[in-house]
Amino acid sequence: MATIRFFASVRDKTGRDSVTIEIKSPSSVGDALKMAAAQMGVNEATLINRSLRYAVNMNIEGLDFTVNDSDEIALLPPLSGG
Amino acid sequence: MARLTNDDFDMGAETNAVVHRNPKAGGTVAFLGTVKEFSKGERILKLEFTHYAGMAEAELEKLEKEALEKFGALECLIIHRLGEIPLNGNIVLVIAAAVSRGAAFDACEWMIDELKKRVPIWKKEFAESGSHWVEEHP
Repeated sequence: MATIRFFASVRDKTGRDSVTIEIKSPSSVGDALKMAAAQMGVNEATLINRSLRYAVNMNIEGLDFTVNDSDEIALLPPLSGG
Repeated sequence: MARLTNDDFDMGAETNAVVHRNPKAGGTVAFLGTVKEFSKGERILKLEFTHYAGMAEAELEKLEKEALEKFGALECLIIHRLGEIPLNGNIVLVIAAAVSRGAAFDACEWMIDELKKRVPIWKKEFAESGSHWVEEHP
């Protein structure tokens, strides 16, 4: 199962820290997030929008990046450390 | 080595430790970020920091390593607090030691600037009117 993790404002919007989804065949980050949105019953725009960046296994990647069932995808709202 | 911690830190002790570990240094620059009283005209009561565990630590360590290489610094250290921090509390400490002061100033400034862009840490402001996630770089 792939894990999708939420932080800060996205965690507040989804009401959870993470969700797991089954990726039966290699998919794009975007498609995986659409599956997650459908599974959670949230609007796709909550998970896919221009303000967010995406990390796959802790590396920044785009929505077209290919993911598999063992991957961890993180949704990163605009950073504000420091 | 970079640290993310729920505990407060002592700027003087951390800076002295860097100085004493680096007898070749001619300059050590330390930047301390603290919780300020006003943000966009609102009085701030406290901040809360959360992070992406694993990636945040890795990115902080990359910043230290890159600063060593980019500026020829002798030692770089970043400490960032997590959890709730009260008004005037310590948030982040960035220290750079180098043979010359120029490299130390440059490395220190570069690390805090890059931290804000690259390290997955998020800040929630608690003001008198309510709380919200900060989603822009100051």
